[in-house]
Amino acid sequence: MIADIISLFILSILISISTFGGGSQALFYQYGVLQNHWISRSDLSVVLAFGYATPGPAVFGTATFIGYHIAGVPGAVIGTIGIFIIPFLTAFLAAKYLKHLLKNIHTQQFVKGVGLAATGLIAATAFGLFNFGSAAGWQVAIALAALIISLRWKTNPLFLLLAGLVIGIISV
Amino acid sequence: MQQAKTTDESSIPYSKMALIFLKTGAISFGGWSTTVVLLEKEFGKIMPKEASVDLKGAAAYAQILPGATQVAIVSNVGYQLRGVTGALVATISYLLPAISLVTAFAWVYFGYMHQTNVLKYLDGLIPALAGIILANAYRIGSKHVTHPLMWGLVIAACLSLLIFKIHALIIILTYGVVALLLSLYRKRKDSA
Repeated sequence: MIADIISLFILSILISISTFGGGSQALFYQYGVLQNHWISRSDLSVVLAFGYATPGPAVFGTATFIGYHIAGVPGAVIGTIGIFIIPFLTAFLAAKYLKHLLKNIHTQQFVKGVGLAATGLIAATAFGLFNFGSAAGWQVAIALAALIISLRWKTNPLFLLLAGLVIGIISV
Repeated sequence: MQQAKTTDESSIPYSKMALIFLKTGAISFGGWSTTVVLLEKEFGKIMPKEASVDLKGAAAYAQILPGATQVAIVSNVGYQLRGVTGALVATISYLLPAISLVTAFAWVYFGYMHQTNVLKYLDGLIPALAGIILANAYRIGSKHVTHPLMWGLVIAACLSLLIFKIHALIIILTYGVVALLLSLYRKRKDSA
């Protein structure tokens, strides 16, 4: 268990360092589900849905969720510190020392490149969590409806998730 | 971006700061822009214009810093207000509602839901989540894609993970380093 907590702490820092404006979902999928088997694909879907439906950066709260699963509240605390310590430190370091670096065109291009990768990886996470190929027609319809409604009307994800949940319960 | 203000008697008290960030963290649905709007409103009420915090600067930097954008913003604003301790107070207060909710949810989920048959009811939730994540990906991509062909690079990153099972971190680093090298090459070519 201690090895898992240390590993979660290091990986949370790594996920945080590698995430520029998005893509953390893909890294949680990679490390939490595929590599370490800390949680299942369903567990990740549930915590991501919870993250989208609640305030604050709760998607990053996946580290807290995994930490809790591994070692209860101490694990949750360690996962939380690991995932949030980097933006916390870099933010005031930026205010003090990194101004010139952040205005640098090459830094901005690096971030842009990482952003393109993150976009693809976020999409890959969606396809990893939900297999469009083997899903029932009504499930594909829910996914497409959620996609279109989110893009067209910027609806609060909570309503879409609740609608999906209710339709799922009715169909069981 | 402003430097940390002096922590004299005219500075905002830590308790008031904590309350503002706690409130913002509890109602900040929908990403970092909501956080900025809420903080703007809160600080607009209590601070004169000349002493107001540089929220736009904090948001601009946060977007090119690694990790959770909202945390980088509140940490930076806290630092502007009361230095390192201010950053700590702001970040902890802001995160408290979300992290408490996730921890409580994890307790319920792993304690009760996981052992029952609740997961079978997720057949409708997961596709809705997939749709939301794809919309999120499109929104993030739109910020970075400056030419339609660049969507091809996005698709390549997606397929690299899904089909070729390349490690996500390797994909991220490769894209970042290639973009950096191209930028350096372009500058060198322009100056030659």
